[in-house]
Amino acid sequence: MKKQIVLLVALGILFLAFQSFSPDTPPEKEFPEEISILLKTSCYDCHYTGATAEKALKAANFEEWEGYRLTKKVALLGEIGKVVEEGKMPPEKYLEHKPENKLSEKQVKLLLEWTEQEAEKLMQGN
Amino acid sequence: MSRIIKIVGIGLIVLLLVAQFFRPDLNSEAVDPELDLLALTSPPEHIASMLRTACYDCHSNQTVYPWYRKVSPVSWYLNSHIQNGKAELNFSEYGSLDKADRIGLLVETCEVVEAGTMPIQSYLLLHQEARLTPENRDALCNWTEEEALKIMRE
Repeated sequence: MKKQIVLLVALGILFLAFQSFSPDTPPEKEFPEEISILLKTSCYDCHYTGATAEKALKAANFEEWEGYRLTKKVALLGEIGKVVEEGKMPPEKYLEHKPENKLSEKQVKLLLEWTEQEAEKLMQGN
Repeated sequence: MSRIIKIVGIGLIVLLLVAQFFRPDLNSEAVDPELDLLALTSPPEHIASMLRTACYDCHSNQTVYPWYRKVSPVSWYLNSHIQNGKAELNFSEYGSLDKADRIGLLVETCEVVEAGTMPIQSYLLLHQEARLTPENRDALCNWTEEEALKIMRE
């Protein structure tokens, strides 16, 4: 019994200690919250580690965003803006299954503004 | 039976002959030094020649044509490839892109070459000289990255 209490306390301490070691900022932290939500809803199903769409993952994997080099980030931002503006992404086939994930005009505009600002920021920061 | 074959044969020959009168316009404009990638970035010669032999035939306004381009329907086939290639990416208009798009183009160029999706197989069949070795690819990617970083610093 005593042993168990000790164990429990030890576990409790460990648990508390782990709190200060929160994992590195998750990738979406780099994005403003409203953008992060949009990306999660309309892009992550195919463009985030764990997705089965190999081609999509290769083109862009948001989980690896932080690891992408600067030029790749700028390139991707431009590409995101383009495909979203042209309505190519999310693709029709995907929307057939998940029509609720279609981006509204307002959301497209929001994404576009963000991609442009972010790319500009990255270019100036360099 | 043999009469049918004869008629079909003659029909095909006539069609082929008529087809020769429909030759698409050549994709060979003068280089615009204000817009062309090679003119604007003047890469080292080995990079420039790689881009010219492996990319420029379909991704610029200066195709170097093989002799068989004069024969229709081959000429149509080539032309559709060139038009599609240019619609996707045209190095002759590089200068008209904004900074982010120029960076995007450079990064993309490296990626498709690294992945081996470009140059396309059908092109390589007839253009041995466009085959890129792993060293070629690395050199090209180093250059595109350098150039992209240069743009970022502009």
